[in-house]
Formats: sequence, structure tokens, C-alpha cells
Amino acid sequence: MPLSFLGEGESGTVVWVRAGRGLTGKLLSMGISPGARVRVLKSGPGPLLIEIGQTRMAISRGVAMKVVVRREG
Amino acid sequence: MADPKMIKVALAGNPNVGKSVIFNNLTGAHQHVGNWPGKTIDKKEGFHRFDDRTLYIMDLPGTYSLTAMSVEEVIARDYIIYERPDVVVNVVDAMNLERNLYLTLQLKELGANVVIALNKMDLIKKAGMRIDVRKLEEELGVPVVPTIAPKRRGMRELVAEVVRSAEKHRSSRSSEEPLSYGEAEKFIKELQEIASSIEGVRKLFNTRWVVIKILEGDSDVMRKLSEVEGGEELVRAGEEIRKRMSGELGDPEVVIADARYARIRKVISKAVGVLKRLPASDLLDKVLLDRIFGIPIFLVILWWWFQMAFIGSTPFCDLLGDGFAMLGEALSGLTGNTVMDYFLFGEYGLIQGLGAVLSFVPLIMFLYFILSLLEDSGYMARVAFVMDRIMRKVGLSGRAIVPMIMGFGCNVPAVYATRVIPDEKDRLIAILTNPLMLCGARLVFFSAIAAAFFGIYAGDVLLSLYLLGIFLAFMVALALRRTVFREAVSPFILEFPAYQKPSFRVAFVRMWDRGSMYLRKALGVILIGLLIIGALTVTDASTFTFTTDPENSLIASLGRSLQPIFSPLHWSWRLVVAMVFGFVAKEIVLGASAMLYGVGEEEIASRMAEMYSPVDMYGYMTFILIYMPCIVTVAAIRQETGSWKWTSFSVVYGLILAYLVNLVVVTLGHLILGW
Repeated sequence: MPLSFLGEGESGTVVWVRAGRGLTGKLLSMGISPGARVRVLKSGPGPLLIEIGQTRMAISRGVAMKVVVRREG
Repeated sequence: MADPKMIKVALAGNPNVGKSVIFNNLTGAHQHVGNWPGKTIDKKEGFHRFDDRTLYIMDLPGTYSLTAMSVEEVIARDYIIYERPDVVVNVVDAMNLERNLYLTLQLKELGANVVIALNKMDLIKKAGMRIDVRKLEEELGVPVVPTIAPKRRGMRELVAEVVRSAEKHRSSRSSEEPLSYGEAEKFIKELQEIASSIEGVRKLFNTRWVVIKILEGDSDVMRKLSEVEGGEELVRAGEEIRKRMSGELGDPEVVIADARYARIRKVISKAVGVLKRLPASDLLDKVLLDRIFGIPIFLVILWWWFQMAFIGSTPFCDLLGDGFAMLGEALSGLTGNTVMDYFLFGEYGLIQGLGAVLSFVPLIMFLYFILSLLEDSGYMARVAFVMDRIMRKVGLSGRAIVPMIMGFGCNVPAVYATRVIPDEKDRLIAILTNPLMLCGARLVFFSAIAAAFFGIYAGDVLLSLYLLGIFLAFMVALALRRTVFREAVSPFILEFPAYQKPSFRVAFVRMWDRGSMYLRKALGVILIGLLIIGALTVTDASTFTFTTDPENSLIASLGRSLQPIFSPLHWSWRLVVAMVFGFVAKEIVLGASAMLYGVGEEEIASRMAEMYSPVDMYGYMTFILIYMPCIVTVAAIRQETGSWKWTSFSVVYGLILAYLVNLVVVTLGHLILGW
């Protein structure tokens, strides 16, 4: 499922990134790559606030649609 | 390199890792800030002396990787490929090893001689984590020097390591085992064989690197190859192999990144003890990013920021303004020629004009200082997140909020501040709408007039002008999105640096960096502008000889000839001239009106109150708020857009919009109030 469907406080593991050329590279270089564990800290209207390892970042909903994750407990 | 005592060093690293602090630590005053050719990205270079060696240090733009996705990345990587620095110092955020080492692996792949500056080691301690530096060196195969940049810790060790590495690199170019890409390896090997057989490619690039880039689909590398003999052939073979790889393993870009991260995770598992989170960040983010309180908290911080900047800078601003006025008076009579004298030292001569511009420097410095503190603390990145929802609705990027805020101080640094917006179109919209932010210069005129015309309501009138500016900026942004830039605001990914206590030293250095840039630009442009207007003011319109009576000057006749255009707005020719003066610097509108009415600046407001109705004056204020940006801002817009077309657009739309708003205010005002 896409990362943007994870609820607040939920975690998942990135399975694949399926965006256009430039965006894929950007996501990968920022650590959003297969195997990375992501936690959604905030998912309100507007961009998502996520945490990967020690890094926090905001990503817009459109971008989050392109990251495929597996939900984890 | 020709001089054996000279070591060429490049600083590379992710954004927010403290790279520029290390650069400033090393180079101190021996640095030069310019632009990369044809780009609006800062190019910083400097020197550092160590024993009998000189380190020539280039601060590369902050990047997450070395692909061709952004201008910054292409600049950084071209520098390493073509300039071949002796050492690349890779500044790494110890708290974010996984993501930071992604760049490290790519630097190594490119064949750079890497030394890691492992920064933010104080935070590691604070978080109760442990990094085994020796293990990290061993696993990565590069020297690692722990540093704490704001405290200058580790700088000597870093320099010593750079010198040692440079020497080792010169004596032997050891080739170690490259990173293995697992299943992708057979495709890489296949293409590499082809690449090695092409002499032109072999001579210019590291073949393994080129091959990996082709498989990643790097458009910039492929374009560069097409200019090399035999390169086209390699690209074609690459496309074919890429397709096969894609069918077997999936998107090659992801497969390759995956292998890099797998390697990084292995390094980290060996070198890093427990991974923990800083709990303070959690709590702060909960509050500062709150859906309901996030924006009010930001507004309070904003209010505090401006209070501090305006209150703190006022004595300095006054001192400078008065100082120049006294200087002008003291020097008058020096040339022995009345014309020259008036021109240089007169009330609207060169010296006084310079004073007017320079008196803004303290305000700008204060604004920058507090901005630097807020950035350093990690809050500014969050503001973009908080504001993004609202800004996006009107077609602006969340990151445009910082330039907008800067614009309340001065539009010139604000236009430069739009560099934080990565997308070109988003950035252009932010630049074009910025002059609508009511800057400190216009405030000088507005506060004087508002007090005289509106008494106790002066504050509300000022507030209404601020809001009108913001409202119009949103409208213009929307209109541009609907017409010229139809694309939606570009999607964003924005990293939040960990919160930290800001360092006054770092903030001061950054303030000085930015402030002095404003100063250099303003001085050049303003001199020319003042000379032209000065010449018009002291030349008699009929005899073309020197005059001290502005009523008969060329500028007055210009004002009179333009006046009919503005009569629907109920302007006299004096208001027209004052407006024209305002083009040089908008605070001059007040002084110019004073001069034209032959009274002092203190009395001008009450004098005008006798002559104009409040409605007409309010209309005039809206015009001054909106019409074309001042000359220094225009120069900044020209530089940052790189286009005369957009620069003229900003001037023209400002004038038209100002005229329309003024007309509406005056017409409706008289209709409703019946004056």
C-alpha cells in the first residue's frame, strides 16, 4: 500500500519506490529506499511528517502515494 | 597541481550537516563568495594555512547524492570530476549516518579521495549513543575525524588528516575493492567491458562509475558521453542492458540504491552502538507542528522576531542616518563649486542618499541575525511544513514563507532568500510577489502619514496596508498559477534537522555573510540611481543650468507632464515626483515630499493633512505600497531571475495594479464617505 495510507503513529517498511525519474532518485538519496523503516508522526491535511531512522522529514501527499510500504505492527 | 605546497580541497555533504560552519572555521576571513557561472547558487571558496601548506577550499553545494537531479548535484559532481580536488572532505551528520553515508559511497565511487568529518558528535553523546570511529574507518576504507563544528572541535585534526591524505593520494593511487551490487553486478560488468574498450571514455571517466550512472539512467552523464568519441555507442549499449536489467530485477535506479543502503546498514551495524532518538525533538515537534497551535505559535515567534529586529536596530539606524546628514553638512563647501557641492553634499545629494540606504543596514543585519538563530535551531524548516497547507492553496510553496517574512524587513535580501525554493517556477512566483510585502522603507513614509491623517487609528491603517500587501501577493500568485505557470506547486520532500541550541557565533557569521552581500549590491545600484535623480533635480528645466529650486527643475517639469495621468487619483504634481523619487529607495518618498513642499520632514505630514483628504492619502499610500519595487530590488530580481522579461514584468504589473487599487480606493472612498 502507499505510504500515504499509513495512519498517524503507524510504521511500515518500504517495499518499493515508484515515481518518475527525478523524484525516485530524490527519495532514494534521502533514505526512502527498500528496506527502510518509516513511521508516520503526523498525517493531517497537508504534508505528512515521517521519521526514517533518526531523520524527520515532511513529504507531500502526492509524493507519499509513490512510496510502497508494508504495514507493521 | 602545479604548486606542491597547495592542496585543493572540496567540502561535500548533505544540507544541514554543518558544512558551512566547518568552511567558515577553516577559512575565516580568507574567503570569497560568488556565484557558480550562470547559476544562482552560492560559490564559496577560501584558503587555510597549515605549516607551510596552503589549503584551497571549495565549499560545494549541499546535496543528498550525486545524480543529475538538481543543479546543485551537477555542480558538485562536475567539480569533483573535472577539477579533481586532492581531497574531498565529506561532512557527515553523525546522527543521520544511514542517509549521509549514501553520499559518501557515491563520492568514493566517483574516485574521490575522501576524508570524513564526522560532525555533531556532541549530539551522539547526548543521545547516549556510541560510534566506534576506528571501526567506521575500517568498514568504509576512509579516514574519519570526529568534529563539533560550532565549538571548532576537531578542526586541527581534520586539517592534519587532509594534508596526510593528500600526500598519500599523490604517491599512490591505490585501488581498493569497489562496492558490490550483488545481482546487478553482472550487468555492470557487461557494460563496463564495453566502456573500457572505448578510449575516449576510459581517458575521461572512471569506467565503473560511468557504467553505473548509465544504468541509473543519468541524463547528464549520457549527454556528456554523447560528446565523447565512441560515447554514443556506449549509451546505446547501456540502454539495451538497462532494459534487460529492468525486466529481471526491477527499476535499476532502485536496485542500485538498495545495494548501497544494504552496504551502509552493514557498516552501521558494526560501528554504531544503540540507536536512540532525542526525546526533546519529539515533544517540541508535537507542540510546534500542532494542527491547531502550529500557526499561532509561528505568528507569535514572527512578532517577537520583528519586535527584536526593529527595536534593536533603531538606535543604529538613526545613528547612521544622522551621521551621514552631519557628514554632508560638514563637507559642504569643500569643492568650492556650488553645483558640485549641492550634488555631492546637498540635501538630496550623494552622501545623504547613501546615508538613506546605509541606515537600513542595521535593520537588515538584525533580521538576518535572528533568522540565522531560528534556522540554526532547526525551527525554520518546520515553518515551511506548518504554512504549506495555506501557501499551497494560493499557489505558493511552503518554503516561500521565509522570503515573505524577510520582505517585511527589506525586499532585497528577501528576493535572495527565495533560493531555498528548489523548483524554478515556484521560486519565480515567490520572487515576483515579494515586493508586495510592506518593507521597512515604505513603513517610514506610512507611519508618518498615518499618524498625521488618521490619529489614533494609525495602527489600524498600517495593519490594513500590511494585510492588503499579503492579500494581493496571494492573488497575484494565484493569477500566475492560473495563467503562466499552470503546473501545481511542485511536490516537496523536506528534511527536518534535529533541534539544537543555536550558536551565536555561527549566527553572527551567517548574518555577516548575507548582510554584506546586500551592502555590496545596494551600493553599486544606488549610486547610479542617485546620480541620475540628483542631476534631474539640480538642473533648471528651461535654461538647463544649475538650480537649487526644485520647483523649476527638470524633475518638476517631469512631474507636471506626468500629472494628468494621475489626476483621476487626485494627485498633485508633487506627489508624482515624490513617487518617482521613491523608485531609488522608498523611504525617500517622505523626504522628497518634504522638500517639494519646502518644509522639514517633521512638518510634512501635518502640512499634507491640510491639502489632501484622508481618502486620497490612503489611496496614495496603497499606490506606494504596490507600485514597482525600488531600484535595488529590481536589480536583485534581475539577478535572481536572470531574465529582463520577468524583471520588466514585475515593474509593469506593479504599476498597473497600484493604479487600479488606488483608483478603486479613491472612487469607492468618495462615493461611500461622500467627501
